[in-house]
Amino acid sequence: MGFDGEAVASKWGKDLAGFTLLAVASACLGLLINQGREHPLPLIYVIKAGQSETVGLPEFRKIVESENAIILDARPALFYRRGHVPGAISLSREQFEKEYPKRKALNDKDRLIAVYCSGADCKDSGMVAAALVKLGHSRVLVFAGGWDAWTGAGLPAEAGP
Amino acid sequence: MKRLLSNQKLGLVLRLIVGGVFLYAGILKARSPEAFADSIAAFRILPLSFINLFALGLPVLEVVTGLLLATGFQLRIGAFSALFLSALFVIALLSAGLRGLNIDCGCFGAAARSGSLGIALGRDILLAAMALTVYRQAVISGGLCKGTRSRL
Repeated sequence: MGFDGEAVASKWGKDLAGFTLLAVASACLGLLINQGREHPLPLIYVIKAGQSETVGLPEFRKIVESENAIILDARPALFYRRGHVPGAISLSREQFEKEYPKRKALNDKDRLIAVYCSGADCKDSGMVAAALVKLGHSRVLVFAGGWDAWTGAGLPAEAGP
Repeated sequence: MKRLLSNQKLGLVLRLIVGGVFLYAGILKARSPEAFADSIAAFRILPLSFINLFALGLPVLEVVTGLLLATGFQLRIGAFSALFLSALFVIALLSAGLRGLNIDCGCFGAAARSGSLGIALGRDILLAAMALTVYRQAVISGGLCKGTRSRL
């Protein structure tokens, strides 16, 4: 399909300027309307506790392989010892309060953290993630498929303490 | 093909369709900005400090774009806006897809589940193509469409 280039190119700069104006005006109007709402949205987005973002297996695998992120195993420590995702640290939901201060890797609150538990139905990863967000960690993800999905895909595991 | 794309009647129909889609999507999102902010956050493209500004501004921009297209007032700007936004949505959806994110597109607000990202992507590409046709016609006709002056 021909785009009749010249006619478009000569004036699209003007259109871009017009659009920018429109976008700025819309943002201002949006903010103004927000002020009139019963519960105005705060200016900065807040990640809600208990509602962490989830990732699927392909992305979780990339995160694990990148070795830049902290991988947390939220299952009871016994299960962690029997087998866990390579490089994962144990931080079980039951022992969270006691163990959290000991995990020095978690001192950097801007580091990416991915949490998992036994499978798609367990709640531990979501609860640990929510607690981490509450403690000020800014990038917390939940691997929804958990240990079941990891081993189900035949991916490598590590055992031991 | 070229003649078909320059057809004024087709232009009017496309412009009403695109305008209608933008109006509908904008109104649905504007009704629950909290949910829309969550949808934006799920894409993990924008920094946290811009998410709510987007969640508040974008629906208004969509409604205004829809109104410009539907009424023909400042049609070139409206068509450019529709083209720019739909291209932006296509890029956002592609990036989410490539990163393997399992999320809802949030295209029509969070309440309306919009199917898979692939369907949303196809729909947005179609929308972008229609917006491109409308914009192209608006430029070629010198901003005059159905007797409505629409230049800057």
